[in-house]
Amino acid sequence: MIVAAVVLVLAQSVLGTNTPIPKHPNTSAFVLVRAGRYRIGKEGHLDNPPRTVAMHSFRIAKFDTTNSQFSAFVNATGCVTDAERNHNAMVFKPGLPEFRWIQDPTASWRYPNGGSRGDLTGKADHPVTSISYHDALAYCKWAGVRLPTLDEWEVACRAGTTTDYFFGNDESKIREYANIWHGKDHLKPDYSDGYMYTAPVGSFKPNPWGLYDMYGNVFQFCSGHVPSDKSKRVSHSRGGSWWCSKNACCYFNSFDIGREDNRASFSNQGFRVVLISQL
Amino acid sequence: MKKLLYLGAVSVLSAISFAAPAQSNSASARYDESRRVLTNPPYGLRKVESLIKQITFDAQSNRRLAAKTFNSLTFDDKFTYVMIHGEEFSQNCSGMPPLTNEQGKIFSYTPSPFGDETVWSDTQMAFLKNNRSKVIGLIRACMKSGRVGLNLKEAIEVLDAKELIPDLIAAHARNSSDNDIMTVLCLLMKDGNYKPFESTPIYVKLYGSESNYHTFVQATASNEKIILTDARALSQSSKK
Repeated sequence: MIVAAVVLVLAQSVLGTNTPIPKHPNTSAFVLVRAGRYRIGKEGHLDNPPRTVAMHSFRIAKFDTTNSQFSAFVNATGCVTDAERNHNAMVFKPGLPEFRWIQDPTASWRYPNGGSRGDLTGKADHPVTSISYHDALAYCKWAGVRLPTLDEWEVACRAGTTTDYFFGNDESKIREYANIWHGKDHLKPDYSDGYMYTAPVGSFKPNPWGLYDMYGNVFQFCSGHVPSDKSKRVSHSRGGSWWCSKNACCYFNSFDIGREDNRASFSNQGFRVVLISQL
Repeated sequence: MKKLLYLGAVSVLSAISFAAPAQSNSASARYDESRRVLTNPPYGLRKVESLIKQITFDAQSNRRLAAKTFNSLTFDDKFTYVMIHGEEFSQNCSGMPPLTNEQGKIFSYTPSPFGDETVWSDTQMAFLKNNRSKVIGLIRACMKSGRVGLNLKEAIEVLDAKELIPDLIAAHARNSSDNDIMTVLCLLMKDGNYKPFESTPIYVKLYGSESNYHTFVQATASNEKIILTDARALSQSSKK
C-alpha cells in the first residue's frame, strides 16, 4: 500500500497535479517547481541583486499554512508559541500611524488580532498568524516539511517571470491577486477588497504555477539570510501582507525581502511549506 | 520603522543601476552603512550599555529594562537608554534595504534606527513626548558633537521638533553628504502642513499619492536649496 501511495504521488507529480500529504488535511496541495536555472533579484537592490540561480526541484505548498493545520500541530504536540509564552504579539487596529503596531498580551495564533477582536471562529481556512519564525520551524519539524529558502520562494513566486510581479509590471492588477491594504494610510479600516485582516487562503487568483497568496494576505517566512543582516536573531519573510499598501511597505512583489526578529509574532505573519523530499 | 517605495522609483532605479558598476554599489553600501550610525549620548553611556547587555536576549525575547531599573536612572541616563535601545519589535515589512546610489538620493523617510527589527516601545515614546522640552535640549547638545545619528533624527521626527531646524541646517553645513538631514527637514515641513513646501515638486514626489517610504528625489544643489529655503522660512514662522 505504501508503494502504491508513493507511485500515486510520483504519478501526480509527473502529471503536475497536486499532492496531498499527511498533517495537511485541508488545502493540502503542493506544486512542483522543476529543476533549472532561474533569473531572480531586482536591479538596484543590494540585498537581492539580479542573478541566475541553479535550482533543484522542490514542491511548495499551493497555500499558506492555515489555522486548521496549525491547530492540528498544537493539539498533537502541546506546543506553546512564542506569543503565548511571552504575551508580546504585535497587532494592528485602524487608527495607528504608519508602521506603528501595538503589543497585545492577549494576542496569539488563537486570537490573532488580540482577544478583543475575536478568536478563530470561521477562520479555520485563514492563514495562521501571530506566530514567530521559531514557531514556524517547530511546525515544520512536526509536519515533516520545511520553509522555502529565500531563493526558492522567489523562483516559485516568479513562475518564470522576470517582472516586478508575476503578472507583469502593472501594479494596478495586484487587486486581482492579493489581499492587501488599499487605503492611503491606516487611519481608517479598509474592506475594499473584502477583507481588512486575513482572507481565507485561495481567495484571490493564483500565480501562473497555481500558487495562491504569494502576494498579500500574510508575509511568508523563508529560511536564509541577506548580505546586510547584522544579527543572528533576524529572520526573513516575503510577499507582503493584508497590511501592506502601495504607499506603505508594498512588499507584495517578487523581489522584496522582509526582516524581523526571529521571536517576533505579528498578525500579518505566516508561512507556507516545502516538502523535504525532492522528486 | 520604515519603509519602501517602488512604483515611482523603480524606473529611476533601473536606469541608474544599469550604469552602476560594482564600485558605485560599494560606495552606496558605505553610505548606507554610514547613514545607519547612531549617536551615543554621553550621559551615563557605559552604565546604560551595561544595563542593556544584562537584558536577556534569550528565548524569552525580553528586550525591556525592568521598570524599577529604568525609573532608578537619572533623566539624562534615561535619555541615553531610549536613544540607543528599542524595546519593541518592529514590523516585518518596515525594512529599508540598501539600494544602489543611495548617496545621491534624498528619501521621503529615514531608516529605522534600530536595524529595522525593533522600535521604541510605547513607554519609550511616552518618555520622549512627556519630556519634550528637556529631550530636545539633550538632542541639541548631542547634535553639536558630530554626525546626527539616526536615533536623533528619529526623535526629532517623533517630537516634531521644529525648534531644531536651525541646528539641522547647521549640521548639514558641517556634513553636506548627510542627505537624511534633508529628509528630516522635509518631514518636519510635511508634518507641519507647510503650504509653500507642499506646493513644490519635491513634496509631490516624496509624499504625494504615488509616494512610498522609499521614494526619493535626487540630492541636487537645486533640490537642497529649495528644502533649506523652505525649512528656514518654516523655522522663522514657527518662532512668531
